[in-house]
Amino acid sequence: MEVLVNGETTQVNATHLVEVLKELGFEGDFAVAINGEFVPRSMYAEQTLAEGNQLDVLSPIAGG
Amino acid sequence: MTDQLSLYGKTFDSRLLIGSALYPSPAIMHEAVQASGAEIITLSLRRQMFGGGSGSDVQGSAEQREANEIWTYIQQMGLQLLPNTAGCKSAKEAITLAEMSREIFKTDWLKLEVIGDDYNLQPDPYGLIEAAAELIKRGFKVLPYCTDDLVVCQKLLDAGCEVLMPWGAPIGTGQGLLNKYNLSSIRERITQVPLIIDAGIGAPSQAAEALEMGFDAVLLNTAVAKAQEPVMMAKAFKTAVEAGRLAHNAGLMLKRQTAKPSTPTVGMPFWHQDK
Repeated sequence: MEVLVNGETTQVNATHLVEVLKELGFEGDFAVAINGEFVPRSMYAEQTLAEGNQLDVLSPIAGG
Repeated sequence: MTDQLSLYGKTFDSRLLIGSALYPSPAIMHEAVQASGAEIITLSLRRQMFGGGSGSDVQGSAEQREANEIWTYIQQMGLQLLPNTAGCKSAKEAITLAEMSREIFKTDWLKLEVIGDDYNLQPDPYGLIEAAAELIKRGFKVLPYCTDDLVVCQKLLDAGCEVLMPWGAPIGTGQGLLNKYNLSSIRERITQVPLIIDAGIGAPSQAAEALEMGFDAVLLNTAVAKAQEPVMMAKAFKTAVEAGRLAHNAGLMLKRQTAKPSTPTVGMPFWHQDK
């Protein structure tokens, strides 16, 4: 299915969030939001994605 | 030393809070932050680069590597982390980002930014107050980046903020304390919580002035990161903040309109005695 990952239209095979993250190769420290709503890490296994969902995967960067 | 800064129940010896962005390299960031003596460091969250969409190997891109290196340095330093919500333009965005920050950084401290205008990155007071109230309900320790508006500051206190961070000038301008009347009004009216000047400070003299005026601390980034010698500038700010605080505690003399000799006039020899 097609989802928007960090602003980019992306094809993914998996539907569960934990699998999608693995498929896309995200690593290190990150946190996730789907359609602008925070998804806690404890929900990754049961959370599913649907066609057209917006997935944001954020990591630490410098800031002021 | 008993003259410590107390924020949300934690005490700090340093009254300088520092940002981690815009340095020439992660190594210089690390050295400058250490030279500054700061015990609180700001940082942020951005989209992680990934190879999924384009198929290119951006995971190993220079930008992502630098972000990882900075994060590694910050973790090693063991400072109080102060994640920001830079770039958020609504309470909703800021709240989502705050929740993500809390999970990654394992702290409920938050520099809350809700920006209302792109030109001067001025905080949106309505969104800021709304987000602050909600985040405090969710257990966050909110340090709001706000304008120098007394009533906005009071509303943030009503929302439950225990620290306020009014701007000196817009972010990254280095203009110093632009509206001293507003800032001193805020300091005079709000004595029950610490006040930190956040943003706009360009020179150590301006940081010292903020402390002399009775502000409890300053938060800055660009002034150090964009100096010709960031590490040296970090030391300059450390010294200036200490000087400003000492001066405040010592109590400044009152200004006068006319001159008054500092050398005693009693027993003056020779001059002017033949009037």
